[in-house]
Amino acid sequence: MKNRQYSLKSNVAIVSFLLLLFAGVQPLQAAVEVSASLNARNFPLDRVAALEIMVKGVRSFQPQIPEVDGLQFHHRGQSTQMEIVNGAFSSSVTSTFLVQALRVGTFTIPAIQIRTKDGTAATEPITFKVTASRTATTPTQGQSGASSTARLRSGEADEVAFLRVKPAKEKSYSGEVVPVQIKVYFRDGIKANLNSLPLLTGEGFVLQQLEREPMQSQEIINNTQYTVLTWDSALSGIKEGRHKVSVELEATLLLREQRRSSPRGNSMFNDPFFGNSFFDNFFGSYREKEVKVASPELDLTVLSLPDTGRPEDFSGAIGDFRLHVNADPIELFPGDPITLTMTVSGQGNFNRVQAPKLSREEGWKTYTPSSEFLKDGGPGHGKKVFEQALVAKDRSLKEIPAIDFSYFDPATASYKTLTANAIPLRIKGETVVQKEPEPVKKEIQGKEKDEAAAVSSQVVEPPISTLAPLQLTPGNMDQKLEPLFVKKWFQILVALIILILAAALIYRLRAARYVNNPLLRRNQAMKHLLGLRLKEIDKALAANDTRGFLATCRGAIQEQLGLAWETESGAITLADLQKRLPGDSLLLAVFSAADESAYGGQELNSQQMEKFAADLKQELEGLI
Amino acid sequence: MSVCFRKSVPFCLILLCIFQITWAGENRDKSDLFQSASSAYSRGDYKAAIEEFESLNRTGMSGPLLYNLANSYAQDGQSGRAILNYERALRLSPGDSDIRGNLELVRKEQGLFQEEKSFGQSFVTFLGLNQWIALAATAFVLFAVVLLLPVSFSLKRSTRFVLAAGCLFLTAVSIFAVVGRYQHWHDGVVVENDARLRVSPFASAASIGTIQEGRVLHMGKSHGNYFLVEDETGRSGWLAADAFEFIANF
Repeated sequence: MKNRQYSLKSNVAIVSFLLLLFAGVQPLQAAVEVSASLNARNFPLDRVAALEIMVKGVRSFQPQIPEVDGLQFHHRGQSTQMEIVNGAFSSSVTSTFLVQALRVGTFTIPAIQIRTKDGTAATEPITFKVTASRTATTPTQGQSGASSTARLRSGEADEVAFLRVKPAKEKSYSGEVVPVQIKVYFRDGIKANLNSLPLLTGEGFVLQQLEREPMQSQEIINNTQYTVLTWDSALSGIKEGRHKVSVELEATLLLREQRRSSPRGNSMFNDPFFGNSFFDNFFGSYREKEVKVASPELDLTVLSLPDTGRPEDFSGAIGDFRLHVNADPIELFPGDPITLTMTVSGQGNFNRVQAPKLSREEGWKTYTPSSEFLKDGGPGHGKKVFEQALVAKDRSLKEIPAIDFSYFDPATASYKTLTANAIPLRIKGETVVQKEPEPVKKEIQGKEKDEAAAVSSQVVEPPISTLAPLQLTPGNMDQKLEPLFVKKWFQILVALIILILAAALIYRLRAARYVNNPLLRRNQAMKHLLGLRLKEIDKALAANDTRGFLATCRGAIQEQLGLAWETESGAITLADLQKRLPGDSLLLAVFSAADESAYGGQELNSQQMEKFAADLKQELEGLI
Repeated sequence: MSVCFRKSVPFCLILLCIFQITWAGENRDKSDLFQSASSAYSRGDYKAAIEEFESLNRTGMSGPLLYNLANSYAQDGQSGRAILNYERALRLSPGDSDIRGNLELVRKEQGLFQEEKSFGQSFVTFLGLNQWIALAATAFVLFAVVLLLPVSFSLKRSTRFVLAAGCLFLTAVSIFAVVGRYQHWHDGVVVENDARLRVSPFASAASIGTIQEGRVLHMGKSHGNYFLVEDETGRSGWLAADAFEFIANF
């Protein structure tokens, strides 16, 4: 029962909270705004347009559509949107009408009145044009099933989808990069999914890899608007001769199924394939149609490169290039490497561009260059940067030799060689011609055996003369190549240090504990003093010194009770003990005997003294 | 008791003398061999120098010995073994400028250019592994001592805190450097000319390319007689064990 009540209460609380929230949000509603839009301002007589009337700030409304001569409005539903953004609530209601024209001409939908609680609002008038009906065209094949593939070669006539390929020229040299533009046209309104990138069919040419995202634009051809996808690429001839090639692309067109129970008759809504009316687009289901869009065949020719005038260092580069060379450092010490940066820029087949070469390599040690291609502009445009390490073997070198790069220029149909001038160089230090050392054995063989000892002391110029000299002493030869932490002595040292630190830490912690705890401090002091007094008592007992024994007992009782009661120990008397200790306390007897001994000269025998000592120890230890 | 002690003292002294004489003799032998190897180097007989330095190296090693051995290899044209021994010498004497200089020179001669070191790499290689370990241990002990000093010790609280924080920071930095250094402790050096990197750990596997003699390798897993290695330029592949030598654990 209690649970039920609790549940009821919590439900009420939740509902109240929601109501409050709703009530709190209500005043934040935006003011009423009305707008109307038509999705096409120009459409043929066999199509319809969609009119959307949107009212913001209300939850429902009844639009009053005016009568317009030559137009019919079909209400197709209402949708509501509500949203809360940063606590601000807004709602909008959209009513959709299909506008059907009964004749060709220019029409105006006048302002539409919207009545709300806050008053009346009106839309702006909309003017549009209705043109004559178009005759729908059908594809050449493939209408029988959704899975069949229709081939639309040069299908510009069917106005659905077609492909155009525009190479920069029709005759090119083998290996030359020919810019080409590939355009795929889809009639506006057709929904299409691309299943492949454009592919080259035919032999003799290769197509550079295409961008996955083509440029998209709109074009009007024969009064029909098309969505155009454009790829800028390049063709490269690989086989000499005449070749017929084309470009194909696979796509899936998403078509609306025709509505069977159309209220508007066959003339407008029975478009069987691509000529679906907007009305069908709006309410019909999708049907997929796979098509292959192909370009007209191109007749291209690949020419062979001329043999005459071909430079020796020609590596197959064809195009229009420039060469720039930079070296760093140009002031250096012997043996220092120089980085030679050679940049070949321009337009052409960069994949065939190889590193330019030194015109003379004598006196230089060269290393394999690295290369990087940086695209700059359209297909085939860019620069290839080569970095090569050089080391001057001869210190008397004054410059890096000129650097040559040869290529074939298709514009002039001739070979060209670019030459970068020699780069002046300054090698610091003395100019010493390196001398290969003569074989030592040869030297010894040519001498008498008894002269061998003398020869051994001769110093020979080593092959690498710049190496620092040998060490004169071997140093400590007990070293090992192992990290410190695997050496036993280091491990023991570290363990010792850790132990010491741990001990110091424990000591510090204990000290801190006593500093912050007066009770512990007092107990410690009591224990310490008791230890001292008990030793004195044992001494007096051993010496059979009754007076000394009792005086020590008295002092011990005063000290311990003084600390325990937090009073001056010397001021504690027998009266205090009688007042604060239980009547049967053994301390009373000892203290009393001590008093009597001090003031009356009472003596104790050794048995009594031993008993008193035992009683005292027991009682005082019980206080700590 | 005293008689026994008196008898044992001369015996111990004799033993000590024998030990001293043997030790001095061994040392003299090593020193003579070292001088002989150095002479061979000076007269250009690098192969003899290598042989003698290597025989010394088998009895015990030191920074100067490895350095001289590396120089001999360098002059003999065995750049891989030269670089290997310079690297070993640097492990024992990290601050020796001669070792560093000659190593750079041999690298340069062979075209084994290294990429510019980042600040972190330069910092880590500023000291050797053992120096970093010693620094880390010292800084940690100082940190603990500063913290555990008695309160009565005449040190301001803020000064104590700054000192402790400084020592702790130094400890952390040194440990970071130790880790960085130790990662390369088991590196190797290619000692074979035109050693081939392979795609798989088999002699019949396809070759990725050759790896230059003298390249320092970072070791990965091993399979049979092959190690998965990565060189300073980032190239990796399987390399036969006889084509390289470890710098440290040999």
